[in-house]
Amino acid sequence: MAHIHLEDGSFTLFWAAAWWVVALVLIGVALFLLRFRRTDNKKIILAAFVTAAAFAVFQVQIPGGVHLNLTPLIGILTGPVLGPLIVFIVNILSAAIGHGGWGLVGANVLVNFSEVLIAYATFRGMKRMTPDLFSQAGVATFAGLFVGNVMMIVLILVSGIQGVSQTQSQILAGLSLVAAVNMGAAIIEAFITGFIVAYIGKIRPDMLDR
Amino acid sequence: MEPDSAAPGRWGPVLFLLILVAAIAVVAFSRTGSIPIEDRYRQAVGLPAGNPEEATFGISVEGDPVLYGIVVIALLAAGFAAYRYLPMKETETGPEKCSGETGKIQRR
Repeated sequence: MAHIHLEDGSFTLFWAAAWWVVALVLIGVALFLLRFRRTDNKKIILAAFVTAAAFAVFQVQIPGGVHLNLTPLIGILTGPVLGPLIVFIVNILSAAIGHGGWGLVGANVLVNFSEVLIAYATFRGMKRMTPDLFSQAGVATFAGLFVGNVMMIVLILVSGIQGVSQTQSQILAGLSLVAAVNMGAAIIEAFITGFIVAYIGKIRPDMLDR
Repeated sequence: MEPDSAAPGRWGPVLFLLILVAAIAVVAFSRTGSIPIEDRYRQAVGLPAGNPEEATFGISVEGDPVLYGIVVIALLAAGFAAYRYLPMKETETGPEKCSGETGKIQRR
Protein backbone atom coordinates (compact mmCIF):
# COMPACT_ATOMS: atom_id res chain seq x y z
CA MET A 1 0.00 0.00 0.00
CA ALA A 2 2.79 2.37 -0.84
CA HIS A 3 1.63 5.79 -1.91
CA ILE A 4 3.55 9.02 -1.37
CA HIS A 5 1.31 11.13 0.84
CA LEU A 6 3.13 14.43 0.59
CA GLU A 7 1.79 17.74 -0.65
CA ASP A 8 2.86 19.67 -3.74
CA GLY A 9 6.11 21.47 -3.09
CA SER A 10 7.67 18.57 -1.21
CA PHE A 11 9.66 17.64 -4.31
CA THR A 12 11.49 20.28 -6.31
CA LEU A 13 9.84 21.27 -9.58
CA PHE A 14 12.60 19.41 -11.43
CA TRP A 15 11.94 16.08 -9.72
CA ALA A 16 8.16 16.44 -9.80
CA ALA A 17 8.40 17.04 -13.57
CA ALA A 18 10.98 14.27 -14.04
CA TRP A 19 8.74 11.60 -12.45
CA TRP A 20 5.77 12.92 -14.44
CA VAL A 21 7.78 12.53 -17.67
CA VAL A 22 8.86 8.98 -16.79
CA ALA A 23 5.26 8.08 -15.89
CA LEU A 24 3.96 9.58 -19.14
CA VAL A 25 6.53 7.61 -21.14
CA LEU A 26 5.35 4.46 -19.35
CA ILE A 27 1.73 5.29 -20.15
CA GLY A 28 2.72 6.02 -23.76
CA VAL A 29 4.35 2.60 -24.04
CA ALA A 30 1.22 0.99 -22.55
CA LEU A 31 -1.01 2.83 -25.05
CA PHE A 32 1.31 1.84 -27.89
CA LEU A 33 1.16 -1.82 -26.89
CA LEU A 34 -2.62 -1.66 -26.49
CA ARG A 35 -3.03 -0.31 -30.01
CA PHE A 36 -1.10 -3.19 -31.48
CA ARG A 37 -2.67 -5.96 -29.42
CA ARG A 38 -6.18 -7.25 -29.60
CA THR A 39 -7.72 -6.43 -26.26
CA ASP A 40 -10.84 -8.29 -25.26
CA ASN A 41 -13.69 -5.95 -24.32
CA LYS A 42 -14.25 -8.03 -21.21
CA LYS A 43 -10.74 -7.08 -20.11
CA ILE A 44 -11.53 -3.40 -20.61
CA ILE A 45 -14.70 -3.71 -18.52
CA LEU A 46 -12.74 -5.55 -15.84
CA ALA A 47 -10.16 -2.74 -15.91
CA ALA A 48 -12.95 -0.20 -15.35
CA PHE A 49 -14.24 -2.16 -12.38
CA VAL A 50 -10.85 -2.50 -10.71
CA THR A 51 -10.17 1.20 -11.34
CA ALA A 52 -13.35 2.11 -9.45
CA ALA A 53 -12.61 -0.41 -6.70
CA ALA A 54 -9.01 0.78 -6.27
CA PHE A 55 -10.05 4.44 -6.19
CA ALA A 56 -12.68 3.70 -3.55
CA VAL A 57 -10.37 1.65 -1.38
CA PHE A 58 -7.64 4.31 -1.67
CA GLN A 59 -9.92 6.71 0.20
CA VAL A 60 -10.76 4.39 3.07
CA GLN A 61 -8.28 4.99 5.83
CA ILE A 62 -8.18 1.99 8.13
CA PRO A 63 -7.48 2.70 11.82
CA GLY A 64 -3.82 3.39 12.42
CA GLY A 65 -3.25 5.65 9.43
CA VAL A 66 -2.91 3.28 6.46
CA HIS A 67 -5.06 2.37 3.49
CA LEU A 68 -5.25 -0.55 1.09
CA ASN A 69 -4.35 -0.15 -2.60
CA LEU A 70 -5.62 -3.19 -4.53
CA THR A 71 -2.83 -2.49 -7.03
CA PRO A 72 -1.67 -6.14 -6.91
CA LEU A 73 -5.23 -7.19 -7.74
CA ILE A 74 -5.07 -4.81 -10.72
CA GLY A 75 -1.90 -6.57 -11.88
CA ILE A 76 -3.34 -10.04 -11.39
CA LEU A 77 -6.64 -9.33 -13.16
CA THR A 78 -5.65 -6.92 -15.94
CA GLY A 79 -1.91 -7.39 -16.47
CA PRO A 80 1.00 -4.98 -16.83
CA VAL A 81 -0.22 -3.25 -20.00
CA LEU A 82 -3.54 -1.93 -18.70
CA GLY A 83 -1.99 -1.49 -15.25
CA PRO A 84 -0.21 1.86 -15.86
CA LEU A 85 -3.40 3.37 -17.28
CA ILE A 86 -5.45 2.21 -14.30
CA VAL A 87 -3.02 3.48 -11.66
CA PHE A 88 -2.70 6.78 -13.56
CA ILE A 89 -6.48 7.30 -13.49
CA VAL A 90 -6.70 6.31 -9.82
CA ASN A 91 -3.90 8.71 -8.90
CA ILE A 92 -5.40 11.57 -10.94
CA LEU A 93 -8.80 11.09 -9.28
CA SER A 94 -7.15 10.81 -5.87
CA ALA A 95 -5.15 14.01 -6.39
CA ALA A 96 -8.35 15.72 -7.49
CA ILE A 97 -9.78 15.22 -4.02
CA GLY A 98 -6.56 16.12 -2.20
CA HIS A 99 -5.20 12.59 -1.70
CA GLY A 100 -1.55 13.17 -2.61
CA GLY A 101 -0.31 16.20 -4.51
CA TRP A 102 -0.70 16.79 -8.24
CA GLY A 103 3.05 17.12 -8.58
CA LEU A 104 3.47 13.67 -7.05
CA VAL A 105 1.10 11.87 -9.41
CA GLY A 106 4.03 10.88 -11.65
CA ALA A 107 6.02 9.43 -8.75
CA ASN A 108 2.94 7.69 -7.35
CA VAL A 109 2.16 6.14 -10.75
CA LEU A 110 5.67 4.66 -10.77
CA VAL A 111 5.28 3.35 -7.21
CA ASN A 112 1.90 1.79 -7.96
CA PHE A 113 3.02 0.41 -11.31
CA SER A 114 5.91 -1.40 -9.62
CA GLU A 115 3.29 -3.08 -7.39
CA VAL A 116 1.18 -4.02 -10.43
CA LEU A 117 4.15 -5.41 -12.34
CA ILE A 118 5.67 -7.43 -9.51
CA ALA A 119 2.29 -8.83 -8.44
CA TYR A 120 1.53 -9.85 -12.03
CA ALA A 121 4.92 -11.52 -12.52
CA THR A 122 4.84 -13.27 -9.13
CA PHE A 123 1.28 -14.51 -9.67
CA ARG A 124 2.28 -16.01 -13.01
CA GLY A 125 5.51 -17.43 -11.59
CA MET A 126 3.78 -18.97 -8.56
CA LYS A 127 1.66 -21.16 -10.84
CA ARG A 128 4.56 -23.57 -11.13
CA MET A 129 5.02 -23.74 -7.36
CA THR A 130 1.45 -24.28 -6.17
CA PRO A 131 -1.97 -24.74 -7.79
CA ASP A 132 -3.63 -22.91 -4.90
CA LEU A 133 -4.95 -19.54 -6.17
CA PHE A 134 -5.18 -18.08 -2.67
CA SER A 135 -1.48 -18.72 -2.06
CA GLN A 136 -0.49 -17.49 -5.51
CA ALA A 137 -2.39 -14.22 -5.10
CA GLY A 138 -1.40 -13.72 -1.46
CA VAL A 139 2.32 -14.12 -2.10
CA ALA A 140 2.08 -12.01 -5.28
CA THR A 141 0.32 -9.22 -3.37
CA PHE A 142 2.84 -9.25 -0.57
CA ALA A 143 5.77 -9.21 -3.00
CA GLY A 144 4.20 -6.41 -5.04
CA LEU A 145 3.54 -4.24 -2.02
CA PHE A 146 7.03 -4.84 -0.65
CA VAL A 147 8.59 -3.67 -3.90
CA GLY A 148 6.18 -0.71 -3.97
CA ASN A 149 7.42 0.39 -0.55
CA VAL A 150 11.04 0.07 -1.65
CA MET A 151 10.20 2.11 -4.76
CA MET A 152 8.50 4.76 -2.62
CA ILE A 153 11.57 5.12 -0.41
CA VAL A 154 13.95 5.23 -3.39
CA LEU A 155 11.93 7.91 -5.22
CA ILE A 156 11.75 10.13 -2.13
CA LEU A 157 15.46 9.71 -1.36
CA VAL A 158 16.47 10.43 -4.95
CA SER A 159 14.20 13.48 -5.17
CA GLY A 160 14.95 14.90 -1.74
CA ILE A 161 12.47 16.96 0.25
CA GLN A 162 12.41 20.75 0.03
CA GLY A 163 12.55 22.78 3.19
CA VAL A 164 13.78 20.11 5.60
CA SER A 165 17.06 19.92 7.44
CA GLN A 166 17.09 16.15 7.87
CA THR A 167 19.90 14.12 6.34
CA GLN A 168 19.26 11.33 3.83
CA SER A 169 19.90 8.70 6.49
CA GLN A 170 17.39 10.33 8.86
CA ILE A 171 14.79 10.43 6.09
CA LEU A 172 15.59 6.78 5.27
CA ALA A 173 15.08 5.83 8.92
CA GLY A 174 11.75 7.68 9.04
CA LEU A 175 10.52 6.16 5.79
CA SER A 176 11.60 2.69 6.91
CA LEU A 177 9.19 3.01 9.83
CA VAL A 178 6.43 4.07 7.42
CA ALA A 179 7.25 1.11 5.16
CA ALA A 180 7.22 -1.27 8.14
CA VAL A 181 3.73 -0.10 9.12
CA ASN A 182 2.68 -0.37 5.47
CA MET A 183 3.90 -3.97 5.32
CA GLY A 184 1.65 -4.79 8.28
CA ALA A 185 -1.24 -3.55 6.16
CA ALA A 186 0.20 -5.52 3.23
CA ILE A 187 -0.46 -8.74 5.14
CA ILE A 188 -4.14 -7.76 5.43
CA GLU A 189 -4.24 -6.83 1.74
CA ALA A 190 -2.56 -10.13 0.81
CA PHE A 191 -5.32 -12.07 2.57
CA ILE A 192 -8.07 -9.93 1.00
CA THR A 193 -6.60 -10.24 -2.49
CA GLY A 194 -6.06 -13.96 -1.95
CA PHE A 195 -9.70 -14.48 -1.07
CA ILE A 196 -10.92 -12.32 -3.99
CA VAL A 197 -8.75 -14.16 -6.53
CA ALA A 198 -9.63 -17.58 -5.11
CA TYR A 199 -13.32 -16.71 -5.35
CA ILE A 200 -12.96 -15.42 -8.92
CA GLY A 201 -11.04 -18.59 -9.75
CA LYS A 202 -13.99 -20.68 -8.57
CA ILE A 203 -16.78 -18.82 -10.34
CA ARG A 204 -15.03 -17.27 -13.37
CA PRO A 205 -11.64 -18.90 -14.00
CA ASP A 206 -11.64 -17.37 -17.50
CA MET A 207 -11.10 -13.96 -15.87
CA LEU A 208 -7.76 -15.25 -14.62
CA ASP A 209 -6.87 -16.73 -18.02
CA ARG A 210 -7.13 -20.21 -16.47
CA MET B 1 5.09 -32.27 -12.74
CA GLU B 2 2.03 -31.17 -10.77
CA PRO B 3 2.99 -28.98 -7.81
CA ASP B 4 2.18 -30.41 -4.40
CA SER B 5 0.58 -27.74 -2.22
CA ALA B 6 0.17 -30.14 0.69
CA ALA B 7 3.85 -30.87 1.13
CA PRO B 8 4.60 -30.78 4.89
CA GLY B 9 6.47 -27.71 6.00
CA ARG B 10 6.22 -26.09 2.61
CA TRP B 11 4.56 -22.96 3.93
CA GLY B 12 6.50 -22.87 7.18
CA PRO B 13 8.99 -20.25 5.97
CA VAL B 14 6.12 -18.15 4.56
CA LEU B 15 4.27 -18.23 7.88
CA PHE B 16 7.48 -17.36 9.72
CA LEU B 17 8.02 -14.41 7.37
CA LEU B 18 4.43 -13.20 7.88
CA ILE B 19 4.76 -13.36 11.67
CA LEU B 20 8.12 -11.57 11.50
CA VAL B 21 6.74 -8.80 9.28
CA ALA B 22 3.67 -8.43 11.48
CA ALA B 23 5.88 -8.12 14.56
CA ILE B 24 8.07 -5.48 12.88
CA ALA B 25 4.93 -3.61 11.78
CA VAL B 26 3.57 -3.60 15.34
CA VAL B 27 6.88 -2.26 16.70
CA ALA B 28 7.01 0.43 13.98
CA PHE B 29 3.39 1.34 14.64
CA SER B 30 4.00 1.66 18.36
CA ARG B 31 6.93 4.01 17.65
CA THR B 32 4.99 6.27 15.27
CA GLY B 33 1.60 6.07 16.97
CA SER B 34 -1.87 6.10 15.47
CA ILE B 35 -1.76 9.19 13.26
CA PRO B 36 -3.28 10.08 9.87
CA ILE B 37 -1.40 8.95 6.76
CA GLU B 38 -0.30 12.44 5.76
CA ASP B 39 1.11 13.15 9.23
CA ARG B 40 2.96 9.82 9.19
CA TYR B 41 4.73 10.80 5.97
CA ARG B 42 5.39 14.38 7.07
CA GLN B 43 6.88 13.10 10.32
CA ALA B 44 9.03 10.58 8.41
CA VAL B 45 10.65 13.15 6.10
CA GLY B 46 10.92 15.89 8.72
CA LEU B 47 8.24 18.27 7.47
CA PRO B 48 6.46 20.29 10.14
CA ALA B 49 3.07 18.96 11.19
CA GLY B 50 0.09 21.02 10.13
CA ASN B 51 -2.26 21.69 7.30
CA PRO B 52 -0.58 20.62 4.01
CA GLU B 53 -2.31 23.45 2.23
CA GLU B 54 -0.21 25.92 4.19
CA ALA B 55 2.96 24.88 2.37
CA THR B 56 4.79 28.00 1.26
CA PHE B 57 7.73 26.65 -0.72
CA GLY B 58 7.85 25.21 -4.20
CA ILE B 59 4.70 24.77 -6.27
CA SER B 60 1.48 24.53 -4.31
CA VAL B 61 -1.46 23.56 -6.48
CA GLU B 62 -3.39 22.18 -3.55
CA GLY B 63 -5.52 24.96 -2.11
CA ASP B 64 -5.01 27.27 -5.13
CA PRO B 65 -8.27 27.24 -7.14
CA VAL B 66 -6.73 28.94 -10.21
CA LEU B 67 -3.80 26.52 -10.56
CA TYR B 68 -6.12 23.67 -9.69
CA GLY B 69 -8.52 24.72 -12.48
CA ILE B 70 -5.67 25.02 -14.98
CA VAL B 71 -4.46 21.50 -14.21
CA VAL B 72 -7.96 20.00 -14.45
CA ILE B 73 -8.73 21.85 -17.73
CA ALA B 74 -5.40 20.74 -19.21
CA LEU B 75 -6.12 17.13 -18.29
CA LEU B 76 -9.65 17.33 -19.70
CA ALA B 77 -8.33 18.85 -22.95
CA ALA B 78 -5.67 16.15 -23.25
CA GLY B 79 -8.25 13.44 -22.57
CA PHE B 80 -10.67 14.86 -25.13
CA ALA B 81 -7.91 15.20 -27.75
CA ALA B 82 -6.82 11.60 -27.19
CA TYR B 83 -10.42 10.38 -27.43
CA ARG B 84 -11.21 12.49 -30.50
CA TYR B 85 -8.09 12.13 -32.60
CA LEU B 86 -6.48 8.79 -31.73
CA PRO B 87 -7.96 6.08 -33.98
CA MET B 88 -9.43 3.10 -32.16
CA LYS B 89 -8.76 -0.42 -33.35
CA GLU B 90 -11.47 -3.00 -33.73
CA THR B 91 -11.81 -5.05 -30.58
CA GLU B 92 -12.43 -8.76 -30.28
CA THR B 93 -15.97 -8.66 -28.95
CA GLY B 94 -17.02 -5.02 -29.04
CA PRO B 95 -19.44 -3.30 -31.38
CA GLU B 96 -17.04 -0.50 -32.42
CA LYS B 97 -14.75 -0.58 -35.38
CA CYS B 98 -12.17 1.84 -36.66
CA SER B 99 -12.81 3.67 -39.88
CA GLY B 100 -9.11 4.04 -40.63
CA GLU B 101 -7.28 7.33 -40.60
CA THR B 102 -10.15 9.49 -39.44
CA GLY B 103 -10.43 7.61 -36.19
CA LYS B 104 -14.20 7.95 -36.12
CA ILE B 105 -16.10 5.11 -34.56
CA GLN B 106 -18.73 3.40 -36.66
CA ARG B 107 -21.52 1.33 -35.22
CA ARG B 108 -22.31 -1.95 -36.90
